[in-house]
Amino acid sequence: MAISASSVWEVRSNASAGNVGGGFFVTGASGTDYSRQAAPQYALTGVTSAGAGNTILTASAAADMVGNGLRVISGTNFTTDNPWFEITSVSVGVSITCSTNKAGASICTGVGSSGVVNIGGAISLQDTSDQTFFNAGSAGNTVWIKQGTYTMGASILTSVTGTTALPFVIRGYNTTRGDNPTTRATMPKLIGALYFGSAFQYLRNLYMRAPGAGNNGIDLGGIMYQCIIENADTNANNAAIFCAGHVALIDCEIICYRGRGVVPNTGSVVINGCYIHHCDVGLSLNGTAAGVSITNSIIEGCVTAGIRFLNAQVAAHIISGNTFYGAATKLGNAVQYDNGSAAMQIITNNIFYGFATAISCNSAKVLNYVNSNTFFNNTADVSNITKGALDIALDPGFTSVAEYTGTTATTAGGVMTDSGANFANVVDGRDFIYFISGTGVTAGIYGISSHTSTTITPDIAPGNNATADKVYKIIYGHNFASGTSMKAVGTPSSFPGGLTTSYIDIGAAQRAESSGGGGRSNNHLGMGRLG
Amino acid sequence: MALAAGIAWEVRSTSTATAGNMSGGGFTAGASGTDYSQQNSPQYALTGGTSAGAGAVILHASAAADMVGNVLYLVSGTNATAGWYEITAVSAGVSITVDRNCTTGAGASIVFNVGGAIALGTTLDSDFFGAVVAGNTVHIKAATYTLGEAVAAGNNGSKTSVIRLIGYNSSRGDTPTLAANRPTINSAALTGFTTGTFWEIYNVNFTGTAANTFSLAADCKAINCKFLNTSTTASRNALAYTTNGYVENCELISYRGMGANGSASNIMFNGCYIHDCNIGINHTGTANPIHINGCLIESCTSNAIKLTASLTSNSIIRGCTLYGAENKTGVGLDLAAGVASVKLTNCIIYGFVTGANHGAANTSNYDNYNAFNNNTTNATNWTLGPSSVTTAPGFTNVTQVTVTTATTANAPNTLTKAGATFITSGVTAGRDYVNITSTSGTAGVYGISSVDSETQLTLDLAPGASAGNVSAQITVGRNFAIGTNLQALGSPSAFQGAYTTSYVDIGGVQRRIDVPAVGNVRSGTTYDNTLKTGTLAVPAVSNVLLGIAVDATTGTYTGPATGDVKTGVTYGASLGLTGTYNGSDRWTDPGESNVRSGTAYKANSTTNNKIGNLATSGGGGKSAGLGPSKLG
Repeated sequence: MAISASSVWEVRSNASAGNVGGGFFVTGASGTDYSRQAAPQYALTGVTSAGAGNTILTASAAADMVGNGLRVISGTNFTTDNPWFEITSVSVGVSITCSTNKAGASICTGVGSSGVVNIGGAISLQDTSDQTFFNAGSAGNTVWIKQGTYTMGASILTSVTGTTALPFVIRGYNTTRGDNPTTRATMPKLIGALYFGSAFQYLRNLYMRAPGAGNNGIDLGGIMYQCIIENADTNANNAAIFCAGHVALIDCEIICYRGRGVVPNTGSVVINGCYIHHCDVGLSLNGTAAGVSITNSIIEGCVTAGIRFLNAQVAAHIISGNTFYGAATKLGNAVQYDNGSAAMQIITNNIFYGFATAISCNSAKVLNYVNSNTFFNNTADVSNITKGALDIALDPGFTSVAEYTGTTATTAGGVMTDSGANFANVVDGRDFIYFISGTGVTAGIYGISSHTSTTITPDIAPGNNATADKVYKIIYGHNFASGTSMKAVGTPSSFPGGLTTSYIDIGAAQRAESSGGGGRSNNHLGMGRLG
Repeated sequence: MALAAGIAWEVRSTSTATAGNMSGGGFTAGASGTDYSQQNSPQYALTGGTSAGAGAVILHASAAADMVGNVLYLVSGTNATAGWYEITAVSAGVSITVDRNCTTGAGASIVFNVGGAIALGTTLDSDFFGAVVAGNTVHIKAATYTLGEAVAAGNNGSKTSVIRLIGYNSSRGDTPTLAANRPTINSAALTGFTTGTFWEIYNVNFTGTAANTFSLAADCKAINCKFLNTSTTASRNALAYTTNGYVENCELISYRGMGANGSASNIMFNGCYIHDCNIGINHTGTANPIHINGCLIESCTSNAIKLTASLTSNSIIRGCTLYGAENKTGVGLDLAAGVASVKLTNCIIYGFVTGANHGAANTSNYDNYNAFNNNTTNATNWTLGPSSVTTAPGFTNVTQVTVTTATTANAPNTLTKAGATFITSGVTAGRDYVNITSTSGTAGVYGISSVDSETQLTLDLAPGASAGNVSAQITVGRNFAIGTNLQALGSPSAFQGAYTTSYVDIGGVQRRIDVPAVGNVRSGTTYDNTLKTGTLAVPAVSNVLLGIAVDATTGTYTGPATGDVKTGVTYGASLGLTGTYNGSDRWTDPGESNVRSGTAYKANSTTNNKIGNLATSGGGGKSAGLGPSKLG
């Protein structure tokens, strides 16, 4: 038999280095769970076997081992290619019987000798065997990753395919399993090119950053929930998330400094409650995606476009209840059609604020349904698209969104200086600087590592040049809650029949009911409520 | 050539068009002539037209410049082809040129009409809709139009040039939202109304009894429409849909069948009210997703939403209210075993035997931020997400009238129940529906034509005659606005990054937000997401009467007792107090005999009420003093 579907893996940054731990325990097994500790409970040497098969011989065999993962380190005729096995039974003081490994191989391929194996202990990651580890599990397994920073020792492409009944789950936690961290500081941070590329994989509460030259941050088939995906690579056209199949991105934050936040491929994609920002293009569709729904999301500060339709679309898509924000001084397009013959798109209940052109189409396009949106502070609201009768042009009255701009900054030592600036409201690690132009700097988005009143230190060196011509902008505040102008102007309003009326605000953020009608705005259930 | 894309057509029930549709009916926007389509009768009803041969020119002495841009209907004539033609040019008094050949040879006795609206109701109905071309708009004025034949629209629109069918009440563009103010196209038992691709339908009611009352072709929209199928045959549809369709703010009813039914990819329903069907939405597709957003689906006998095939893409059901019945009926969301990856969020699932059912164990679905309440079983093979709740939504006004041992009769079609209180319970004719749930009588949904008395209803269809053994139920009220229980429990809440927080209610209906005026909020208090600051001056507790609530506490000011306030003076307005102090602690009445004779003075009075009578003698006499000056 293979490793059980109910195996639960543990990853900790303080685990013994090199992924040498047994790493998992089978829920309900008779033994003791030794996976949730830094070091293996048993580090056995001199293990032998009578021959090929699933049983190894050791005088240390103990009943509490049953259900734990066993990691083969070395040994004559011991299987080390896929070195994780499940201990299925034990003859105390005599032998250990194992499952087969992920590849279906037995622990011994012949008479084993000088075997070195570990039982228990978490996985460390940050090793060249990381790829092997992520593929060691099977459908139904859960991998818990404790808060910590993990720089991948290899590019990760998982091949573990879940099923509709047995998803493969990778889930982060802060201090105890299930505490559902949602901030960078409390999530486990995985650095590297990570391709979770098989169906029915569920990722949750993970902070994934791809800082290198990798192409796509994440390949995904399944659901990503409450994750942060950040591609800080400086090459153009990378993606933070490349969606391989039917994908759902829910309550995620997505950043891609020079590329595309989300790239649907051939499947359908659901994006809901996400915060997509500081990309070149927030969502880029090449035309083959099968029905994309982007709802209740904030798309902010994308250089070229919030959503870009590169080719004629084969499917209708929904863009509803979102807040599109370019910049106070205008930036790019919110929705851009490079090919006007795309299939019908539904665009309702959105805020379009701060764009060169909010909805831009390269040729006349009447098929789209645009209604119940607000267009404000755009150089042009639409191009080759007709607005609907219920579209309005009211200021959404964002609670706290503003920007710094400058045109005479210099750079030196990786630091930008603008002597006339006062960056009092900049928040390090939260805000981003967009270098628009300037001698000797590479245009594009950078994170802000630190600042003073007149200087900004980006997380990536922008290039050094003393000519005072660096043009930049920094959005700060980022609170897109709207004022009363957006109150109850969305759709649906009065339902057909006139018996029920709904009061929906335009934009991603519905207003708090601060009083009247039994308001209890502070009692809402936030993400922390999730079990 | 062909008919111009810019033609706007007019349909009016008051049209006097020969045989219903034999008017021009259309005018090309921007043409040099005069628009004669928006009138009941043709401006020109001409006979005796001729032509020199085959071609697009009709010779007639009545040819006039104001005809240009109008559509003419060619009724008949030798070598003439009947149909609608656009007048593209005129030689006044000589000839009329139309958009394409209208004669096949030398024409004679040509009869044609220029201008005048279309009436419908004839065997030219499908011909008329088939004549409409990409880019055209058909305006239909409010009235009931009973089709003379099923409409199978022949022409498609295109991605850049759609065909629009727009209903209006009294003037074009007035967008009637009540069904009573919209035009109704009744196909009765005919095959129904089928669009071409790339059509958009606004503000029109469609009713019928065929397999599909209305069929929405690919890449079409239906907005602010009503689709009704009153057939008593099972599994008939109010709306049939195909690929890339969009249905917004529509009402769908099918007494025995499906409100909406289809197998297509990427069908989207938004803000629709689907009710009193056997199945609200029945999706049989296996390819790309179905999106159902912000809809109310209520009182459907078997299912609110049913996905019947192996649909594995990301179907979304979001922000909807699914309501079965107070006494539970059917399944709210019913998924076949092969369905996967359904996303159910922010929905109310209330009043079902089973709230959500999956045909087989399946963890690929996503459930969260829903409210399951008043279901016999909330879920089968379906896992409620950690933020889903089981709280009662507290609908504003939804109740149920249930009767048993009722009697039904045909002609007149009545349901009678002794002891019932139909009027008192709020049953409303033309709005509410009876669902006969027993096998006695013919089970299914019926419209209520009239509420005859507390104990009798007249139904729009014959229920069958059954004495004393019929069970039925009626959902009344139908206001699905919610109470505070589900306020701000939906998703998203705090956006990742936590710079923005949203407050979404669960269900298809968002609550009203009442923000007080600044004058009603304490001065200096910021509210409404810090956008406003109150200006109301709230008195200090020391200035408010003891025990009176003020500013989350009570006042401490102690007012004077009545005995300390001048007698007769009212004070403490809300308390209605009157002073009783008369100064008697500061004076005594000297007695009239001790006051100089003739001197008026006050004694326990605010005015002089006594006169002294002390006789004085000689000079220098001195009487007793007057009372205390305190008396006012």
